[in-house]
Amino acid sequence: MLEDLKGWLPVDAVVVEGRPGLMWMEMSGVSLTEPFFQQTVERARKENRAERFTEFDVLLQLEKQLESVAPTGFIFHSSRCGSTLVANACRAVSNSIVLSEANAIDSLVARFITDADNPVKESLYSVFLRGVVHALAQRRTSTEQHLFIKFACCSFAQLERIKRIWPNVPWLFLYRDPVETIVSNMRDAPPWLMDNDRRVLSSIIGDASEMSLEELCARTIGSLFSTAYKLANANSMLLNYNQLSVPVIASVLNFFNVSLSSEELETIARTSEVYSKEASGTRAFVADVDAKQKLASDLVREMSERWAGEPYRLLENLVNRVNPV
Amino acid sequence: MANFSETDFDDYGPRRLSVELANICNLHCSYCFRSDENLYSSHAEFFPLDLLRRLIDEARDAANVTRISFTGGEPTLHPEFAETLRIIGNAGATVSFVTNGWHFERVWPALQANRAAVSHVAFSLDGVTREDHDRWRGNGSFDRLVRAFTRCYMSKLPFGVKIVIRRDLVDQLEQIAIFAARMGAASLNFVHVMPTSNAVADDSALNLDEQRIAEQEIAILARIFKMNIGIDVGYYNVDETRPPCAPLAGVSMNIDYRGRLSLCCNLSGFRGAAEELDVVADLNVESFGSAYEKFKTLATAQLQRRKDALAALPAPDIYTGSPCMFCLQSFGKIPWKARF
Repeated sequence: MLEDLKGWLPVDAVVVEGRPGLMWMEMSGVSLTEPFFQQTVERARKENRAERFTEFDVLLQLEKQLESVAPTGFIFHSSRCGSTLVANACRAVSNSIVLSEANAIDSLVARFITDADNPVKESLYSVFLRGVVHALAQRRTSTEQHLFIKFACCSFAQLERIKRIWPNVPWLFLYRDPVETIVSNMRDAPPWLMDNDRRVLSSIIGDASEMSLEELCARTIGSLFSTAYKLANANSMLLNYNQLSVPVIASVLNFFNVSLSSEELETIARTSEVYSKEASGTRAFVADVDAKQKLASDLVREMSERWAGEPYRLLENLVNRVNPV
Repeated sequence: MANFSETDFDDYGPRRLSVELANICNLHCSYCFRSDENLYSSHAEFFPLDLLRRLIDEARDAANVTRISFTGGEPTLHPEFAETLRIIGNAGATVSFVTNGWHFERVWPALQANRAAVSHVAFSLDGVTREDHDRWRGNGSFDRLVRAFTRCYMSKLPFGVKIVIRRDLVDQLEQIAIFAARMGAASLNFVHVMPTSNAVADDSALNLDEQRIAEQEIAILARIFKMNIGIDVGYYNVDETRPPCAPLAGVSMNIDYRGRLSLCCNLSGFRGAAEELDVVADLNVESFGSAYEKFKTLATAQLQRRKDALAALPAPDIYTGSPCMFCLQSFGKIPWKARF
């Protein structure tokens, strides 16, 4: 079994015929260069790469036998606030692995919410989450030294459980003015907001069954802000989208204990000029703060203020206290 | 009266024999249900090779038995353990055995020499850390066990782990599953404590509610892991549509170290037992075919007895709801407990 999985990576956590497990894809020689892990998977899928299902047990064997990179830093965010830009900057660091919103990781984190209805499952899923990260972070070229994981936004709600698995890994939380965040999400609604299975969102905001998308989004990001405010400590860094710049991104990497060379810094500067989420890396980045504010409807402003305004201000005050201008 | 024992029950697999190769054991586990007098005080007795040869042939002819499981005591203490494997192999049957792993290095060459005959090995575990396991089984036991796991895994010899769910282990079920999977086990079988006294029942055994919770957790583990996970002994089962266990289905039979055919390995030589009503024949003086007929009669009668007992109770207690406990009680194995 293990020899069979040489060169394979877990690409999703799924349930097949009632049995939870992992979908794997044969990814020998496939570099994880796209802004999102699933974009890389789609590219590999077009090459007709083999895929297969296994139960989770196999992770426990792989953990013993695969050499892997321990996490260097975690990137959390409240959606549409520059986290992909930071992840791309991490990719500019030599010998780094960047796992950006990998389904296998975030689906397992979501299982804490949807499945972990007893201590057995929570304990198991913690072990499996560590195993999935170990498998994804395997040294495929023997030179990898750094592992950066960018989680999907809803995974931040499970920060305490994630920290129990990796208590010493420094983490970054990126956030943005809630009006701008909601406008961005309304213009192009992401899967986490459109998911018909509301169990994950309900775990974050309470009953999520009957409300507008604006309210759903506002309540979710407000809750994520509150989580950041509550759990921020010396091992964390809070960063507003409006502060993002090449020097600030460099300071994030310093916070992750990564020393940048001048070549790496130059690469980061270059990548920050293009639209971060496009795989081709050719579309120019255009600052859109003013545009987002102008596009905000009355409903967006009302929901933003009601559900996310106060948590946002608390977060800003905390950041200003810790890092006074 | 339904004669379950004459039916093949696919769920319980092919017909098989448990053979107690030795009455003695090198370890002293306080919760063990085998008679401590046999294990530690009496002189060592080992299953005779001539009898083994004869019974393998007769069991195949009479009941189509081709699978043998060696138990004990500790089966690897049999001075001619290698020869027992060879006998099974020569007869075209397969063998597995349950061991504490202490002597595994010593018998490893015999296993390699008779690899085709050995289907798998089951190891008894008492905890997932050296400290926990060795507390029950002595210093060095855990290391020997892990070495044995590694031997099996590297040689592709399937192995399973058996663990008794003592009270102090009940909150570690998932850790046990993770450990077994990490070691590369093909199966993990949980076993409820078979109480041999009120003290053991109070100290180590779960009550009915605790058992039900543990069984639900084990069912969850079984759904999540590819490794085969189940409960071998003591589970609560009041489904009357089918026999609750392999012995009562007529699928699994036990032969004790004296060569006597009995209903179940979990009743045989039970510590503190007052009676041996589960023993049906002495195979030293009787053919297996003749003894097997008596076995089927006993299994069928016991099934009916339990059906009647279940029908008499609106909510079966642990001594009726668990087939193992029912047999222990009705065969006089736990005289310290009130009889029916």
